[in-house]
Amino acid sequence: MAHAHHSGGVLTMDVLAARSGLRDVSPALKASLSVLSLILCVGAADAVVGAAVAVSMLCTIWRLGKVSQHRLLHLLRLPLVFLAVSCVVILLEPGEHPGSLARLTLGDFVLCVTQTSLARALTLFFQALGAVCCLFFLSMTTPMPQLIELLRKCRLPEIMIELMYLIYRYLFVLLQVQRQMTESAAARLGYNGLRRSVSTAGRISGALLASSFRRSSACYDAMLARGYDGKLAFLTSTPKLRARHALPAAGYLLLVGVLIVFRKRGVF
Amino acid sequence: MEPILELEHVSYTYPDGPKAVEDLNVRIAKGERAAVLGGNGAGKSTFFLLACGILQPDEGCVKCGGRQMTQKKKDLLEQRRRIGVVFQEAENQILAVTVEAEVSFGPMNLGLPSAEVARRTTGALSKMGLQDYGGRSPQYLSGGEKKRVTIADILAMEPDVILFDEPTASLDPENVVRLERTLDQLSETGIALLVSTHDVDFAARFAARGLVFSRGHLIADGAMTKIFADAALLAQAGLRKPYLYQAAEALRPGGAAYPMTIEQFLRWKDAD
Repeated sequence: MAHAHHSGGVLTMDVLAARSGLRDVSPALKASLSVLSLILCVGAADAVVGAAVAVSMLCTIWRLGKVSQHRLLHLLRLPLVFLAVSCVVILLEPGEHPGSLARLTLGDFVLCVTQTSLARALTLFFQALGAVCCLFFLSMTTPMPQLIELLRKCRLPEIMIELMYLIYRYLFVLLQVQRQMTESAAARLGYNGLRRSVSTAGRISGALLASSFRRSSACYDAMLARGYDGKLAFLTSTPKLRARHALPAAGYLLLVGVLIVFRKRGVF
Repeated sequence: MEPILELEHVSYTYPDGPKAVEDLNVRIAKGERAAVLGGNGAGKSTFFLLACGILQPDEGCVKCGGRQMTQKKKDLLEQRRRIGVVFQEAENQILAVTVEAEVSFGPMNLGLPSAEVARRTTGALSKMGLQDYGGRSPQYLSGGEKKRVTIADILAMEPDVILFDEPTASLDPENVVRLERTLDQLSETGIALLVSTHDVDFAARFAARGLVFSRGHLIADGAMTKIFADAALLAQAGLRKPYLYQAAEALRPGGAAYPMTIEQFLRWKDAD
């Protein structure tokens, strides 16, 4: 069937969202679930809650969103590395501490891992991981058009909505032209060595700007030809809120809330 | 019978260049099919932009259904509704983020009620075989599918004339065949079709009437058979004869008329 060349990496999220198993669920529900889980996860400041939210969100994306484990882990790489590096910094405390779990000596400098620093690092790690997974849930199950419509319902100014639509649409055209220009330049050895690469990249940027101006003129003609009057109006159909989606979502939030209460009370 | 589209002594010059078209006189009747031929820069695209009201003629006037079109908003809207243009580059025409939204753009601009817009959108999508594409994003469609979306865009406005600007330019052979079938279907519903093309073989298959542009002038307007028999005209416009025409001419030189399509050729070869 249709297979347009799409650049991986940058557009992966967009492709995943477009093909998501959850794309027919009300975007308002998905956004609410994501944001509320995020607030609960971060507000709880607890490693177990964070880990539970992270794992449950990832499982939901994997099972219901139909994203492969491989893809998911690939996308988690970057946040994990970032989190790990940040948490290592918190893990190590400078100076001598009695009863430390581990010690690192760098010349005159001593770094210790203590019980408290370990607990703090773990809490932060899982808290942040949970938050990242909540946002992954939103970005991997909700295509951009749905998000934009949601923002319109949240009374974002109409001009911003129109700009978002147009920018999103023409981003793909821009990326495609940029890729073609880059490939063409690379085939002519434009990227041999640092200086040449920088110079070529600069020229491509300039050419893209010029090309965009020309194209915008052609696009404007096409819009006029269909009666464009100054206001961008489309018919959009947003998935409706359904009880069989809303109830499990509410149930999930309730469970997370109960977990937080148990952890705070020290039940486990 | 009033011509559905009429250009009378139309001239236009782009702000920064020489005369793009000069003294154009064209009449298109309801349901007619015509091919617009000519090299690059001959004035074909300018002619299309003048016909649908995007450009205003410096001289002369454009009439739609017998009435002269003015700059008034109502007239412009009417002109753009009745005369649709499918642009050469689908990427320049598609501006929405889902196929359904894209096809609904035209009817929405006409100020129709939502129910009517929805009806026209679904109708246009099904006419182009795009019923299941409503929620898809245009950026992930193939070239042929994007082309079909741009045609559905125009169909949703229920035009009387559709102008196709080099529709086969970026299509693979399979999609060219599909396009030709689509053009036949559209013609059967009574919509007049004008197709501008470099491909004389395609033009010969598509229509019996040809309009030949050269350097801003309409140098021929009539039967394709007469156009391709006139060597001087073809040289002036930078066109060649269809291959089947050339083959037939080589087989039986000195004839009055030659076949241009494969069906005509097969009949011709069995005759006399």
